[in-house]
Order: sequence, then structure tokens, then C-alpha cells
Amino acid sequence: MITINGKKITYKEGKTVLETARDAGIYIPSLCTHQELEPFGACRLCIVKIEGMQGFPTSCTTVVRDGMVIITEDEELQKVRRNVLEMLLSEHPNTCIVCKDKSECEECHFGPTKAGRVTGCNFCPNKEICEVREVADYLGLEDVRLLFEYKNLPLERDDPFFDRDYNLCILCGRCVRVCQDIRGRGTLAFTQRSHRTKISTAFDKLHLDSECGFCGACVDVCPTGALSARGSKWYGDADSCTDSACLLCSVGCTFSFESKWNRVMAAIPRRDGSTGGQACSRGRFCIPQLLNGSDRLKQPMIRKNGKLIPVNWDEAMTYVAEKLKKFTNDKIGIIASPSLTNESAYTLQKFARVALHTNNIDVPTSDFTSPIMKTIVASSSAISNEGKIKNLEKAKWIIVLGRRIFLPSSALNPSIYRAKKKGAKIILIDNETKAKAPRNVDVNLKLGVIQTLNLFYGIIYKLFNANPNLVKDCVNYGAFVKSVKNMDKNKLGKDISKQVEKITKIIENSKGCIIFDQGALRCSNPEAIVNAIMNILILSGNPDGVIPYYDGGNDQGICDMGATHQYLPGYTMISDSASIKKFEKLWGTTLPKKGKNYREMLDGGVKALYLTEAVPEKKLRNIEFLILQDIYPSKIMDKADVVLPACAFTEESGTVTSLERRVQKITQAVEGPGLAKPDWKIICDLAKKMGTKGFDYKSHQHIFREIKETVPFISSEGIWSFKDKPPRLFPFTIEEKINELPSTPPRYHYRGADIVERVDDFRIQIEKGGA
Amino acid sequence: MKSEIKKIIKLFKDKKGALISILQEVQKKYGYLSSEAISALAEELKISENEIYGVATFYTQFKFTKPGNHQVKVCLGTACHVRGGHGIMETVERQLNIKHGETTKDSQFSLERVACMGCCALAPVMVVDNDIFGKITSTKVKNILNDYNRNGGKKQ
Ligand code: SF4
Ligand code: SF4
Ligand code: SF4
Ligand code: FES
Ligand code: FES
Repeated sequence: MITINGKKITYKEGKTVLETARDAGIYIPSLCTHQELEPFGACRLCIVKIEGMQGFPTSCTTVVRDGMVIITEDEELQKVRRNVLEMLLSEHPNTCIVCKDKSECEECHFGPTKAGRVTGCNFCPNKEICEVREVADYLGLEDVRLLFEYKNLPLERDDPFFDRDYNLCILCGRCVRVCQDIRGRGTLAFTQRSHRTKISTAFDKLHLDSECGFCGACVDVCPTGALSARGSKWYGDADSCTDSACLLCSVGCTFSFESKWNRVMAAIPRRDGSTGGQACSRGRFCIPQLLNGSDRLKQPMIRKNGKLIPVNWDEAMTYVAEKLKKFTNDKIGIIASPSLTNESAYTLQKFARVALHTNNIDVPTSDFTSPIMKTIVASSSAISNEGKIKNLEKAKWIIVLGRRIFLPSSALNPSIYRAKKKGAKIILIDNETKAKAPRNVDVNLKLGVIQTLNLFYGIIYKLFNANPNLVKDCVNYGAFVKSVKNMDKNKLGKDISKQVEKITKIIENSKGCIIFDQGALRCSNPEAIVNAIMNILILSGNPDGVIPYYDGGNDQGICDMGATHQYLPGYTMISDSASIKKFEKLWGTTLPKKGKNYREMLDGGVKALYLTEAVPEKKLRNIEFLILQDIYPSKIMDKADVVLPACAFTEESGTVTSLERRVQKITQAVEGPGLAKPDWKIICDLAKKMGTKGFDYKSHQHIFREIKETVPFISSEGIWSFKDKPPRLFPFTIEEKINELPSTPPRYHYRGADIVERVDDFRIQIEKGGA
Repeated sequence: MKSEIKKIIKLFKDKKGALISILQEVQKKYGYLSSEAISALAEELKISENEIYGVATFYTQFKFTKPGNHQVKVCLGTACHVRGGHGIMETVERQLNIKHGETTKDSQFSLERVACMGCCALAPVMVVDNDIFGKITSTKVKNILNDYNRNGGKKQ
């Protein structure tokens, strides 16, 4: 028990006085402290009186002890605080705080006015809540008696995404701490001293040249208008805020979308998501520009006399239904975009199987997803509920395959950095011989895909022989032991053997994680690599440490929903005639036993193709009828016979599944443009037009109820996992005839919207190599 | 430069809080802390160059611009201040067309302010390299600097 302002309050061990007071609903002004950062004790506004302690301790740095008697507010404290604030405001433009006409002004101006410099009137880009104003109001500050000194620092506007006006900076240090302690970048620092102290990069270089990832974390913690997102600062207060998630990659950061005039204007990270309020430049800054383009597809179109002509939905649907009838089932194919929601993906695969009687459905990213799904389904082991990102933070070592996972302002970086601070060793394996190792990497091996695989085999050999009993209960134990025994270590080569020693030393006897992106599997036998990764993780006791970094926002979910040629929903093999009975009964149909994959379909395997996102047009062969369902026009539209406008992820509701198998809700923030519809609605309408039963869904929740019937392991929110069974090991042989394939560039697009092309600032970031 | 910097870091290996000493060594070697030197340090020490720069700029002993052939120091200590040190400083700044803390374009002079040289009786005082000039006036300043420029460093 402690006493605050005469009230008895229970407290939690280890919390600070400030946190305890806040939890009890008692306000103490504070400007430099922040819930995610270590206390700093710089602003001295949070001072309190504590019985038995001298002077005025700062509550943000004082840990509560039993029996403390604390006073947070009395005339003496307020006076000191007012003095402190006045001092602070003598260097921070302050007319918006002390102006006599403040309240009228706030009523009449809906937001900041465009102005070159913030001089303190209503021009500050800090919106709605300004923490400095809050504190000033609390203290009843009406005048600043000190002479105001404008620092007259140059405005910094030459970097992408955000502007900096350090004349508004109060030197709270939050940006410095978030960048160094949370993001692990260290782009910002306190420089100079005494009254010349300021926040800057080394030699005042551009952020582009200072390792900034443009994650925006500094903008989000700044209590003043010193740091502001350029694209969103001028529209004033938002009409509404919608809690949702980002679909631009598979990390699945959660955001609150601010919208105005039926447009998403800004994406503010939510602290309750799996990345704890950290995101990347794409999610934080690119979404408005990416999705609000004036050229969004707004109307269905069909090709008449060689020209795409706008029509209404009914005409378009009738046309497609008629046309599709002309092709045999085997000659129709569907490409499922990895950016669809689970509901749309489920509906799409059901459409393929029930309405078209075909298994020709796949994702464009199947080179990467398919081997992963095979192994992961096979290894279906006990998977913890805390999620892979939390697991990552606890890792003792992290192997990263592919530099890109570090390079993006990647929302995984903070987790990797957190693990590193706790002592984890970070091992990067890539083949970019010229590039320097990123700063937080302990070991950087330059290996090709095949060499990496050999390295893994060597590690497996060592780990297993060090402790063969550890995995005794695993499925496939016998066969695995045999393959280890048969392994010819000499085949690995001297160089690799040396590396094996080195890496095994680091990872033996401890749990770790392996993160990999599509580049890591670029070879003729990608499954071998995924299998090896799983073996290593199982041998070190952490099968949950496998983290595939999918480029598509919902690659995981699309595969869970069965929108691939080899699986039905919930990973029932389409060749498994016993298990597919359940689906045949549920859907009232008989199911085809074979399907074509992405490559086969594009390469002339089908005649009619239904795309839910643009694919590279050059890859198409012999297509007679092409349907494009997307959000933007693209090159492939020249070949399309029908174009159907779809909603983007800010315009529809449903669920998506992130790389850690976390099912997350996305919620409609704004209306789609023109006649655009959510994908599942378009698919249902089409199915009904074709006279197919079972597509009368009333809502996305309705679809999800059916998904639950077919995918038993899924729940509408949270991590999904298979039932408990011991992990499965993968027997292996060192193959000699395995080829490395050329690497493909990372996928920075959301359906037909290319982020690099559409968002200038992102392009600049990429060109600098700092994405 | 990289290998030199590696050597310096080795000198202080495993010593806590060695950054300042390392920076001092680097400055001793190169005369100042260049952007390249700080980048190289950052890479070796695995901290960001911005952090290093932040620490370094906190101490007035570190310079970030290349020192000139002649180092001009103008004293602004109490005695010199009272006797017009600031006027001298302004004259020098105008004459060399730089501010204190900077180096002239032709790399001949760099200018610094100091607080008391320990010869207050001579105030105001200006020092060029190791030569002390006392009781100086604006006219003298010009002559002194011109001499250094002409004689390539020898005393008048
Ligand atoms: S955007 Fe991110 S990386 Fe860049 S300075 Fe801010 S916190 Fe640091
Ligand atoms: S820029 Fe903002 S967050 Fe950074 S020190 Fe200044 S006021 Fe604080
Ligand atoms: S890391 Fe991925 S999910 Fe997170 S903000 Fe960036 S693109 Fe969106
Ligand atoms: S909040 Fe405690 S000193 Fe700033
Ligand atoms: S004050 Fe200038 S020499 Fe002492």
C-alpha cells in the first residue's frame, strides 16, 4: 500500500511512481517519459513530494516502495512546474498556448494552416492532442514571463515521408530513445551542448544518409509538432478512426486508419498489435497515396469491339457467366491474390471447386509458399499460442536468410533488436558479397542457397550427435537417424565444415529462430531447405521458431483457406479421397482430383484465366478469355476481356492471417470507389449467376462460420495451431544435382498497385537502398 | 584510414567508456574528426555514427573541420574580454572570412576562441600556432595574419 494525495493505493512491484499514479487515474504532468521507453528524467515536470525524501524527486524515475506517502499536486509543486514549463516555452513558439483568443481560434480553425514556419499560432502540425498544451492547461499557465528566443534552425524537408522543425523541439529525447533503444537504428542523437543542444544526425546529414528506415516511430512518440508526417499533416482532425491491420506484407502490423472525406488519410500504429506499435515505412506512410489514386478501377468493364466499355454489374456478371460456360473445367484457371482476405480466398476456392469443378487455383507466390506449406503441414507440431514475434524476442540466436529482412524499416527489426539486447547472437546469411553487414549482425556468412543448405546439413549432423535423445519421440525418428548416419560429411567441403563449427558453437544448447524470405529458397529443391530449417529448429527444441517472411499480406491465410492447387481448406490434400468426402458433402458436389499450379496455368495450361491481381503480362500464353479483378489498371488490362473493380483492404471487413499465423480482423474504414465491391461479393454474385448453390452469404461473418467448419484449427482472432503431437523430423540426403535459381526482386506491391511506382517517397527510399 | 582506426580501437579494447579516449587519439592523428573517420569508427564499434557524433560534439575539445596550416586563437577570457577581445575576434573573422570554429577555404588558417591563455597582463591576446601576440589592435591583427600568409608560417 502506498498513499497518493491522501488516498490509499495498491501498487505493482517494480513500477514507477508515475506509472502507479497513472494506473490509479491520477494525472501527473510529464513530457519526456513514454510508456514504451525507459525513463529519462529530462523535463522535470513530473516532480512530486515524497515523505522522507529530499527535494522534489521526478516520479518517472522513482520506483515505488511500500508505505510511500506521495503528494502529486500542491501550490509549491505547481509553482516549480510552471517555472519549468515557462523556461521550456521561452524557446518553443508559444502563442498557441498563451494567446488570449485561444478558445475562439480553436473553434474556427479546423486544422493547421499551411505555413512556412510554425511561429506558435495555429500553424503547428501537432493535431488534436498536443502534450505541451495539455500540460500548460493543467498548470493554468497564462503567460510566459521570459523573453522568447526563437532558435531559428533550418526546416528539414529534404527527406522522404516526414518533415522536421526542431524549432518546436523541447529536447525530451523520446525520438532519440525510440530510434536507438527500440528500433536499434540510432539515426538521431543529442548533439552539441548547453543552449545549442539539438537533435540531429551526424554532421546534419540527411536521414537518407543516416541509416534511417523511415519507420516513423520517432514521429509517433514526439509530443510536439517538431516531427510531422508530410502526407497527412494538413487535413486537420479526422472524421473517424478505424482499428484495422496493414496488408502490405505478412508481418501484419495493426493500425488505426484515420479517414476524412471518405479517404484514408493516415495510418497510426496501434500499440496492442503483435509488433507493439512498431511498423515500417510502407504501412506507416504509404497507404493513403497507394490507395487513394484517382485512377482506381470504379466500374466493371467488358471488351466490345476491341475496347473496354463500362457496364453495370449485372451485365458484367452475365457476360462472364456465359463466357466461362464455353470452356471445359480443366481449361479454366484462377489466380488468388495473396492480398485477399480469408473470406474472399475461401469463397474464391469454393467457386473454383464447386462452380467450375476445377482445382486450377494457385497463388502467384507459390514458389515460396508451397514448399513451406508442405513442410509445415507435415511437421504440424505443438505450437505455442504466444506467437512467433514474441518467440523471436526470446531467442538466444537468430539466423536470418536474406538481408532484406533487416533492410526494410522492417517491423521485425525491433523484435530482433530486443533479442539482441538480451544477448542473442544474430547470424545473417546472404550472398551479397559487396554489401557490409548491418550493424546489429554478429556473424555475416556470404553463402549461396546450395552452400547454405550444406551448412544446415552439417549443423544438423552436429546437433543431433551432440544429443540424439532429445528428439527420440519425434515422428520419423528412425528414418532421420538413418539419414544422419548415411551422411557423407566430406561432401560438405572444407570451407563449409569450418562454418558449421562456428555456427554450431553459437546455437548449440539454446533455442533460436530462423527467419527467411523468398530469396532463401531460390533453388530447384526448395523443400529441402525448409525441411533442413525445421530439423535444426526441432533439434534445438523450438519448432515454433520458423518464421517465413511472406511478401504478400495474406499468403498464410490464402493457403490456410485452400486457395492453392494441392490443398483444400485446412490443408486437406486434394488427392486424399477419404478426407475430401467431408467437403463433397458440405458443398454438395464431387471434387476434381488434380489441379494446375501457377506456372502451368500461365504457361498455356488453361484457356480462360480469372485473375484477382495483375500478373506480369509477358508470362501469359494462349489465353482466350481473361478476367481481371483488381483495384488499379495495369498493363495486363490491355489483354483483359473483363475488368472487375474490387475493394482495397481499407474498404472492406474480414480477417487476414499474418506470418505468425495470427488471425486478425480488418475493418472497413471508408467506402470503395465507384461501384467497387469486396472480392467475396463479386465471386458470390458470379456463382449465383452461374446457377451454383451455396453462395448466399450475407456477410463476411457468415463466410467465416463456414470456414470454421472446414478449418477446425482456426479461430476468428488470435494464433492458430494444430493439435498437440510430437514434431516431425525430415530425413534427408545431400543432393548433388540441385541448382540455384536467379533471385527475383522483392515484391513491393498490393495487388495491381506498385508501391515503388505510386509512392514517390518510397521509391526514393528504395533507391537509396534503405527500405 | 580504416586500418589506422582499427589500430587505435585495439589500443582501448575491452576498456569501458573508451569512446572519448578513442576520439582523442583519432583527433591526435588526423587533427580533427572527419565524417569518414566517424563512419569508420561507427562500423568498427558497431554503434551508429550519429551516436558517436552526438557524444563528440558534447565536448569542445573535438573539431570537425580540417585544421588550417596556422591555428589562430583569440582569447576571450575575462581580462581579454574587458580589453576588447571581442573586437579582435570580429576583426580576425572578417579578415579571414570565416567564423570561429572554421577553416579558411585555402586551408591556411583555422580560427578558435579560447578562454584565458595565462598572460592576462598582455590582454588582449591572440595566438598563432605557438606565438603569442599581446596588446594587439585591429591594425596589428591584419599585419600579423598577412605575415603568416606570406612567409608560409615563419614569424615576422
Ligand atoms: S523514422 Fe525510424 S529509423 Fe528514422 S529516425 Fe525515426 S525512429 Fe529512427
Ligand atoms: S523532436 Fe520531438 S521527440 Fe524528439 S526530442 Fe524534440 S520534442 Fe522530443
Ligand atoms: S511491416 Fe508489413 S504489415 Fe507492417 S506496416 Fe510494413 S508492410 Fe505493413
Ligand atoms: S516525465 Fe519525468 S522528468 Fe520528464
Ligand atoms: S583572459 Fe586572455 S589571457 Fe587571460
